[in-house]
Amino acid sequence: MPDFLVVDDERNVRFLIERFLGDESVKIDSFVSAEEALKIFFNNEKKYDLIITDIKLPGKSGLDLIREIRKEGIDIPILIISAYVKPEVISELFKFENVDYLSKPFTKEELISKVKNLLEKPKETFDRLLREANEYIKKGDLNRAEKSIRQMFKFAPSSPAPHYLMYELLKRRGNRELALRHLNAAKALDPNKEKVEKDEK
Amino acid sequence: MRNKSKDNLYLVIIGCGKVGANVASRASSIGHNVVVIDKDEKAFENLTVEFTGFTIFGDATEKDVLMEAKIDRADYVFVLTEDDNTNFLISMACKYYFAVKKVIARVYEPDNIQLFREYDVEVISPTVLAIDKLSDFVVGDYK
Repeated sequence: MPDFLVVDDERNVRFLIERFLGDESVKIDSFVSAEEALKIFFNNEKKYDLIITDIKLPGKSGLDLIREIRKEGIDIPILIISAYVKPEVISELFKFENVDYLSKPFTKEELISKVKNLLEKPKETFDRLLREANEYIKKGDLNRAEKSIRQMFKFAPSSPAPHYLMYELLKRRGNRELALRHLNAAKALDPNKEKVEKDEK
Repeated sequence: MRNKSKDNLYLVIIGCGKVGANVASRASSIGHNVVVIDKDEKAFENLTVEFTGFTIFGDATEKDVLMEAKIDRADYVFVLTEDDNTNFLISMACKYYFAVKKVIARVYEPDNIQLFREYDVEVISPTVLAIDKLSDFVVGDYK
């Protein structure tokens, strides 16, 4: 059962979220302020799968909350729910990875679809980047390929896939030495490395 | 039994007095999406503990406030302020600016009912309801 952390100073909205997600068998801990929520979160950050937060809160804002969590390098998906906010704030929000926005008032369907998207997003994005990078390499568009691969590193630093792609890319650019380094890194991370070695020969 | 097609309506209720607050509380407790607007922040105290919906503090005669409530998506709008003229203005905005299909307004003055109906706004009149009920006592087979 996924665990969600909800921060909103309005009782109605906290109850609403609990009710909307109650049918989806989600466990919810809700908090009135970002300070309280952060304290609990950092005590046991592994426990939670998603954070839902308002922007306008007494004391620290929802934006502060996101900054503090991301500063610690924690990539938990975050859904921001808020009444009308200025475009500047929205553009600030989307500088963070793995964040989505839902404007109040919202319906149950909207909330559930945003939540599902966020929970599925990392994998989807990683697969998409992998496809893109492969295609770009095939087409010979190495700069674009490199951009996709760099993003893959961000999403999954311990995956061998971006290292293999970097190897292919650097080999094509003629940087044999660095390419081999990536190949070694990939092999070190890859549990199926024998199979790949065979392919190499 | 609850009608299946009536699950998850999007309701906007304008005026959070006794009637608005109680309807909002009840509708949200059975699972509808409810937004309540009032220009007096204290009015939201009328909502019961059952209420799980959104409150917007603002004047519903202003277009921006109605927009904030996403009124164009409403299945029903209940216009329940204390004043017939205000209700008429808001009903017209809902109906003809935001193209809301079902607008239901409270109308106190029976002489105003016709006007609302001419513009395709459904009417609920506490005055007429009271007159009818009370008349039932004194005229046995009234109707």
